[in-house]
Amino acid sequence: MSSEQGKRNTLNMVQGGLCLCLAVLMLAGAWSLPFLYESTSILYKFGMDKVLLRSGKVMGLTVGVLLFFQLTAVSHLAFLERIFSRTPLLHFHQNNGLGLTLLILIHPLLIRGADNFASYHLEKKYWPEFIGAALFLLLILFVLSARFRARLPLKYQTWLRVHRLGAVIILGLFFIHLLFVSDTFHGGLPRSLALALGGAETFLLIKIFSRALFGSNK
Amino acid sequence: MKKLTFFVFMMFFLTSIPAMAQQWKLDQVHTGFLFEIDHIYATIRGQFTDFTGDVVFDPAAPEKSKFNFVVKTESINTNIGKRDIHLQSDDFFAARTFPTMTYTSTKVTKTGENRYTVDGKITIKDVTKEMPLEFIYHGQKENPMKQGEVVTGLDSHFTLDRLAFHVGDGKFYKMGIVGKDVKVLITLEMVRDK
Repeated sequence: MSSEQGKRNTLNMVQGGLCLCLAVLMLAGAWSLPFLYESTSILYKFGMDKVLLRSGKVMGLTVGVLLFFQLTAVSHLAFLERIFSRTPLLHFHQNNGLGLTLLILIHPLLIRGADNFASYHLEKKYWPEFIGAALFLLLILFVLSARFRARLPLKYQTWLRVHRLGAVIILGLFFIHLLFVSDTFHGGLPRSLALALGGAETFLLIKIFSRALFGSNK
Repeated sequence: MKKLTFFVFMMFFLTSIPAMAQQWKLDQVHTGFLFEIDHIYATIRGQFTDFTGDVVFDPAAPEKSKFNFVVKTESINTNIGKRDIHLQSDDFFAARTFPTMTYTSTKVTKTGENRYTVDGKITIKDVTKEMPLEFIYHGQKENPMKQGEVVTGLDSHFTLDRLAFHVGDGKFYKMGIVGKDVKVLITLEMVRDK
């Protein structure tokens, strides 16, 4: 191995480590929100109910960050592909999708468990929760369709287009749910962070779609 | 045999006429089971939107009257979704375990000009208590909105201690957040065929 190659590998390792640190920092930041910026619903809970509710919110916020990672992994960002290379990033995208599904399944159980699974009537006041329910179903369907793509009667390119469009809908619904379901995100730093994350994801989506439309090989 | 059958039928018909005539149907849209309770310094108002009532009322013969209500606890509405879900939870109404609150009258007496006292039992969660309700009778007339129908109205204001009915274990009260005395207004608008 030449010294040039060795330097490049070392640099990649350092940059890879920095990326992982940044990812952990993002997750830790998201996890801290239900502790530092307690919503009214958390304030009114005690004991196990409080633990359940807060854990449910942590799960939901983790999903939000993992959705960002999900998009980042397939955005063909040059520096990421140089550090991690394309195939491992794609594998991460696939495994991350499964991790997301698990968290999505747990999130409503914890949130609703904190209120003893009280019924949500079909009323206007519960619309952010219903957006969440729609998102839940859509995400499960989305992950299943990706996992069992080979069994679907769709050409790869058609499936990919549907997958990309689905991603736009899911991210849109996610941010609506996030910004309106909890008063933590009604203002202040949490709202600013959520909007910044939404902006970053919009940028990544534009990058993915422009690459798909204009066929960049970069 | 025919005469006997006719006699029994007529007896049944004649004795049931007064009760049938006084059977009122709740106008669901204009009847309310409303409440207000203190929250630190503010007053929070809400209502239960799903209820049924079996009301027989004749102002001239209160002894034949009855006021029975069933209110669904999960229909609590304070206009804030998250608060309503919390109120349905085990912290307050435990709506899954106790889906209804009931009031069953045992005696109705006239106590003054347009005033009636309804003695009865109220059941909220696992507690049943005797609770007399004072009703103000607003009169009755032909329904201005529908010919051939009579409309009447009664109101009852009372206060109950939610902790006496296990609606909450008192932690929010001790913290000075949610009051224990709940002001209740039952406002009835009822109709029957003329």
